[in-house]
Amino acid sequence: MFEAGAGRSKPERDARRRSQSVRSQSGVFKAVALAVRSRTEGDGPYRRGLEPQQRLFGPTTARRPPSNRHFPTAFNENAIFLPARLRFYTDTRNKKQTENKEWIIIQESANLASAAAPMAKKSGDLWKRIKHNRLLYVLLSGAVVWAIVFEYAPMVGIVMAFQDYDIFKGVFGSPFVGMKHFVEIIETPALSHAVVNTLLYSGVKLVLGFPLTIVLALLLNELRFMLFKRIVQTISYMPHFLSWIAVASLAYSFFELYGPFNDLRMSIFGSGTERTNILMEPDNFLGLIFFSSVYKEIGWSTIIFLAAMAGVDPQLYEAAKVDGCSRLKQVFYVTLPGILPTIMIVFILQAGGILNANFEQIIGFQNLYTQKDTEVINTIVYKYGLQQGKFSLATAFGLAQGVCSFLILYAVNKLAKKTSRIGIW
Amino acid sequence: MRTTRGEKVFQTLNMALLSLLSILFLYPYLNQLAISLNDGADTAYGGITIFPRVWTLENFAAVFSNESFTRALFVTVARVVVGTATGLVVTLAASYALLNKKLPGRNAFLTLLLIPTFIQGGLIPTFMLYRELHLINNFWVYILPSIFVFYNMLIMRAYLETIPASLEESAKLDGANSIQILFKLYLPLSMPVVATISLWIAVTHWNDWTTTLMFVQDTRTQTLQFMLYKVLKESELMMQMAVERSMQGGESSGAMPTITPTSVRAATLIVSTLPIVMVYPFIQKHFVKGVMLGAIKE
Repeated sequence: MFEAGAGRSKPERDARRRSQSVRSQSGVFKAVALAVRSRTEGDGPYRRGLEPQQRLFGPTTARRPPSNRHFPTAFNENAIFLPARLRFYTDTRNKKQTENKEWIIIQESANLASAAAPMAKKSGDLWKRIKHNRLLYVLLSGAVVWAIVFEYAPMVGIVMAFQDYDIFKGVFGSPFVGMKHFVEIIETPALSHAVVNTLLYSGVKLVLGFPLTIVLALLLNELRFMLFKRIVQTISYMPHFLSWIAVASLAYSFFELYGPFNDLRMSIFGSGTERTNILMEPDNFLGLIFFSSVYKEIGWSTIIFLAAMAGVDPQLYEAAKVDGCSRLKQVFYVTLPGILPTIMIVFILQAGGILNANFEQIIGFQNLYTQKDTEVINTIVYKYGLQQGKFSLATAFGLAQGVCSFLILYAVNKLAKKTSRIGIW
Repeated sequence: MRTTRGEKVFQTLNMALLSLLSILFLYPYLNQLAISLNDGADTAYGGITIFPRVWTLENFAAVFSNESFTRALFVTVARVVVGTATGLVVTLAASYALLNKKLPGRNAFLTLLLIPTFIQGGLIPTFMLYRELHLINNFWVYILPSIFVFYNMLIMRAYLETIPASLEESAKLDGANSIQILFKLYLPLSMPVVATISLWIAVTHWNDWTTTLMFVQDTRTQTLQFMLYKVLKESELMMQMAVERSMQGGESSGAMPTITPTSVRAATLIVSTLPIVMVYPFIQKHFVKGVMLGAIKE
C-alpha cells in the first residue's frame, strides 16, 4: 500500500535504500526509523530549546498503546509510537507521563509539515508553515477561486435590488432608489399571486406528500420477501434519475388526447366519452404538480426512512409482541417513535424550503393555457428578469424570497427544538 | 417465524399494492418506448400500450438526422466528460488540502466554501456576472459554475480521513510532495468514493437543462435535455395550432405524416434518458450512499 505513494525520483530511492538496513532488523518500522534519524540531525522542534520531555510528549499527547502491534500507528495525527527496543529517549522525571514504558511516543518528525504546527507560535513560524504547505494551497486554489468568482461575486450584485439597474451603467453606476422595488412587489398583484401559488404548491407537497412517503416506507419495511422488495425499490427509484423535463414529457404523452390516460377513460366510461387533455386546464395544475412530484421522488425519499427503520432496536419489537401488540400497534408504538428524529429533520428541511417551488417542475409543466395562473416566485424572477429585463425588480423579489426562506427555516427549527428537542442545528 | 392468517393476508395485499405501484411507475416510460418504436401515423389513433403495433425505427432516424439534435448529443457528452473530470479534480484537491488539520487558515477556507450553501446572489446577479465573464452562450457555462460542490467535498474528505495518516507520513519521508501524495497515494486508495462522486457529478450534468434555458440561446451549444424542452414546447405550439385550426373549421390538408410531434417527442425522450435508465439499477447504491451520508451529517 505504501509503495503506491512512492515516486521514482532519486531522493526517494535514496530514502528507500537508507531504510533498508532498519527494515532488515526491525520489520516494518521504516518510517519511524527515518523519523528518528532525522531528529538526530537536529531538525524541527529540537532547535527550539525545549525540555526533552516536552519534545517527546507534546502538551496534547495522550498515552495509549498502539492498536496495531506490528506498526507503531500514528496517534493523534502526529504522534508516533516506538517500540522500546528502538528507544531513543526515555522520560525519567515524570512517571505519570510514561505509564507505558514499553513505548516511546514521538510527537514530532522533522519532515512532517503538520507535526511542526503545535510548536510554532511566532508569526515567522506561521509564514514558514504557510510556505511549507504551499502545494496544499495550490490544490485548494481551484475551489477557493470558484467560490469567490461564482458565489461571492454575485452576492455583490444583490445591491441591484436597491437600484434602478441600468445594464449599461452596471452595478457601480446605477442610481440607488432604496426600497422602491420591495414596495412594488407588494403592490403588484401578479407577484403576490405568485407568492400564494408558491405557498400552495409547497404546502400541499408538504402536508400530503410527506405522510405518503412514510406510508410507502412502512409498507416496504413490512415486506418479508427480500428480492421483491429490492425490485420494487429499484423501480420506484427510476423517476428520480430522470430530469424534470423528462418527467413533464412523460406526463404530456400520458395525458395526450390519444394517450394512455384517455384510452383508459374510454375503456372505463365507454366509447362515448369525450377525450380531453387535463394539462390544458389551470385548475388541474395543483394536482399535476403534486402527483408528478410524488411520482418522481416518493420512492427515493423512502430511503432515509427505511434506513432509520432498520436502525430501530429489534428487542423493542420483541418486547411489544410479548406485551400483546399487534403488527399495526407495533408500527404506531415502536416504528414511528423510533424514526421520529429522522421524520423531524426531513420535515424541518422541507418546511424551510416552502418558498422554493421547484423551478424545473413548474416551467416544465406550464403551457400556453396554464402559465398565466400558475406562476411561482422562481418563475417570476426568471421571466421578469431574463425575459422582460426588469432586473432590479426580479432581484428584489429573489432577495425577499431568500431572506424569508431563511427566517422560516430558522423559525421551524426553533419550534421543532422547543416541542421535540430535535433540530438541524 | 410463525405467521398468522391475518399476517398472510396483509403480506399478499401489500405485495399486490406495491406491484401495482411499480407498474404505475414504469408504465408511462414503457409506453413512450413503444411509441418511439411505433409508426407515427399509427400512434395518432391511440391505443398504444407497451408494445409497438407497427414497428419502425423512422422516429429515431428522424431524430438522429436532425443536425441540432446530434450537436446537442455531442455537447451533452462533452459536458459530462469534461464536467466530471474537472469537478472531480477540484473536489479531490480541495478535500485533500483541507484534510490537514494544521494547515494555516484551514477553518477560514472551510467557512469560505460553506457560506455559499446558505446564501446565494440569486439568478439576476448571476446572469450579469456571466455576461461580464462572457459565459453566456459559451460551453464553459456548463462546466465552471458547477465545478465545485461543497457537499461532495465533505463526503470525499470523510472518506480520505479513513486512510491511515501513517501512509502519508511514510510517503513524505520518502520525499514525495503533496501533489504526488494526492495522485499516487490517495487517489488509488479512494477509488470507491471517487466512483461515487463521479457518478453524482455525471448524472447532474446529464440531467441539467435549466442552465441552457437561462444562459444559452445559441443552438450550437444546447444540451440534450434542453432539446427535450424545446420539442415539448414546440409540439405544444403545434397542438395549439391544430386546436385553433379545428375551431376555425378548417381541414388538416393531405395525408397524415408518418412522423408526428408525438413520436418525435417520444424518440427524443428515449434517447435523452435511456443511458441513465439502463445503468441506474447498477449504480443506484452509489446514490443511496449519498442520501445516507447526508442523513448522518444532519
